[in-house]
Amino acid sequence: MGALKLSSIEKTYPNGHRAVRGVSLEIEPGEFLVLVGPSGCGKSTILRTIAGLEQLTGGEIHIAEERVDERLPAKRDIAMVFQNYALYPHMSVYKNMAYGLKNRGVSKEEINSKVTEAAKMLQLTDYLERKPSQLSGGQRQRVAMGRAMVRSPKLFLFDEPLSNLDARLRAEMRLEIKQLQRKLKTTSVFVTHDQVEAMTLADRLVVLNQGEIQQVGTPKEVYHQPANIFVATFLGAPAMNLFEARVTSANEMTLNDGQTIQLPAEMANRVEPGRNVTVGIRPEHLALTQNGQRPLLNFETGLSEELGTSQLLHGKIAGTDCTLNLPHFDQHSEDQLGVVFEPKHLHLFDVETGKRIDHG
Amino acid sequence: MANKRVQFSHPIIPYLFIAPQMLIIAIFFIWPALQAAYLSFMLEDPWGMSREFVGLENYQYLFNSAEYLYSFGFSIVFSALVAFLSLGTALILAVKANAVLHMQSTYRVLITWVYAIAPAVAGITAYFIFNRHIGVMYDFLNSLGWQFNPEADAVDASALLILVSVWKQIPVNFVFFLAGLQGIPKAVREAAALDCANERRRFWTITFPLLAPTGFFLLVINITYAFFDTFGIIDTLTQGTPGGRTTTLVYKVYQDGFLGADLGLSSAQSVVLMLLVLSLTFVQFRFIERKIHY
Ligand SMILES: Nc1ncnc2c1ncn2[C@@H]1O[C@H](COP(=O)(O)OP(=O)(O)OP(=O)(O)O)[C@@H](O)[C@H]1O
Ligand SMILES: [Mg+2]
Repeated sequence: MGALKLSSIEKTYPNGHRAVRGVSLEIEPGEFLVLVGPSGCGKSTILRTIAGLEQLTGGEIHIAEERVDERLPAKRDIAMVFQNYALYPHMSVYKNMAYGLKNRGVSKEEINSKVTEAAKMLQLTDYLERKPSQLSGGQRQRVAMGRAMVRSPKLFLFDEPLSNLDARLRAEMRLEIKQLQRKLKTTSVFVTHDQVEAMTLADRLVVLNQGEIQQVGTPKEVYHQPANIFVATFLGAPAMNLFEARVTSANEMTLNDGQTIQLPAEMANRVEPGRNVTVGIRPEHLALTQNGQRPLLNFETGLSEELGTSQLLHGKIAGTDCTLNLPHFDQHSEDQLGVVFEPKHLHLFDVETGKRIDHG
Repeated sequence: MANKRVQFSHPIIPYLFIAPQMLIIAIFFIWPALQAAYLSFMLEDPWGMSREFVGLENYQYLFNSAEYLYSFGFSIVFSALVAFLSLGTALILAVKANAVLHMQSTYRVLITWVYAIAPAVAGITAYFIFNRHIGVMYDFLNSLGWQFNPEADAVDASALLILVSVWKQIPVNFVFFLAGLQGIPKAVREAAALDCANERRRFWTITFPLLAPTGFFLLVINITYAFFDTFGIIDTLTQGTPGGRTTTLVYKVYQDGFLGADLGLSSAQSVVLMLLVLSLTFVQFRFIERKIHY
């Protein structure tokens, strides 16, 4: 039984822009689903069609087996947390949280006990009589959370709720949201373009681009087995290194400048010789040769950046820009360095379609 | 709180900066006001040849005059109705125009252009439309069975004045209300749409309170308008007829002072009017505004 089911939903805006192109998804009860993608890819649009703030132009939405896409937003049993909080400026914190319950005819006593409980959970008890303008950003964010919580809806929707907070508070609230969601076990859809948020919060991750789903999976799956070049380069900072190559034999590829790479063992004999492929490897999976190790590839050294915990070393392999993420900071004055890696960390993509090749 | 004050090195300079403004206020507002206060204790002959100090006699006369007391009451009822009706109508129009997606600007222009008409012109236009001999609306209302006759019936005359005054004031209110509506963040309206299914209720619990600061500002503007700026409409439409039944306080100042040439009495009325406006402003800012700012 799905808590939320999107069946090939479509959204074309009145100006003709097709923002969502046939997205289908099924979300399990209690799941924390994160929609991630570059700006303008349609994340907010999807969330807003689920909320009913935008009308679908195709497809259906079911919440707990009931079709909701023709209902009013308030009749869908969902609650949404907005990026800029969207608190009612003329109401106290208490009234902000109580408003949705009051309109649903909940009794005064019940409202009181729910709001008090939520306030306690969110450490807002001392602020119940304040107006939103007298709260800090983090407190406003908590009120917005509280307003969603007290309704005990079937579904929480979050549209980049943390992006207005400073980095430290964002990390704190991220953890808080995760804990809260674990405790309440309310199915949630969370939109963000921040990868760290996406990776840390998600039970399952949906990567979107230009209104289409690129990949659905746990953060680990999406990171380690990206379905295509877009996903591979979108997740992970710095982005995955990509090289053009040609398969020259059953277990070997050749780069533009003639250097050769061994195909990973499980890929041997799976790619027919003569085929052009894109090879990807993450910066942290590349290492420099140490005491006489035989280099697998030659690296032309460029600039380096010190990150504190690690070092980014930029340069070129086979004439293509490439970055290494090295665990120690060392000065590298050589023009050429040898690079090693484990073949299992290589990703192969089809040159034309950009799709991952080892997928059966 | 940070100290926002800017310190000038020389204490005279800020006064020099505001001097021209103060001069204008002194010449055109304070001086005439003092003059009026002075004259209100005087009895002057119609040609201004002699004047005599009479103390509070002008005031005593005023508050014993049934005519004056009537015009006092009429002004208040008239202003309240004009303010209420023009604010209400404008609010409805603004809400409707704000909900229109296509050709919103056309509606805006259609409703706003009335603002460009001078009160006297509006009065004369209405005079023709409601005239006993040539008026289209006059015939229409009478054909409906309403014995409409603003020249003889005080209620009809008042209704006519109110209608024209309200019509003339709607554009201003409309523009401000529309701006106020558009100033409500989209996300707040959307959050409300998730919290409350009933649109009417949403209006009264979210939109209306958020428009209150705009509404308050407009209330002050509208009462001032109804008190003072309707002069041109009254002068062209009824001149206070029938029998002084449509005379507002301002119109009476004009009648007694300029037509009746009783400057002392007229000045006393001006002073009363000033005190009235002063106390109204005080009440508005002290008690109402405090409640509606977030
Ligand atoms: N009301 C609208 N009318 C027309 N086009 C719109 C409208 N709202 C959004 N769009 C377009 O639809 C596309 C998707 O917008 P959406 O807001 O869903 O992006 P997003 O993924 O949430 O981006 P961001 O990360 O910047 O919030 C964008 O190209 C945007 O320009
Ligand atoms: Mg967005």
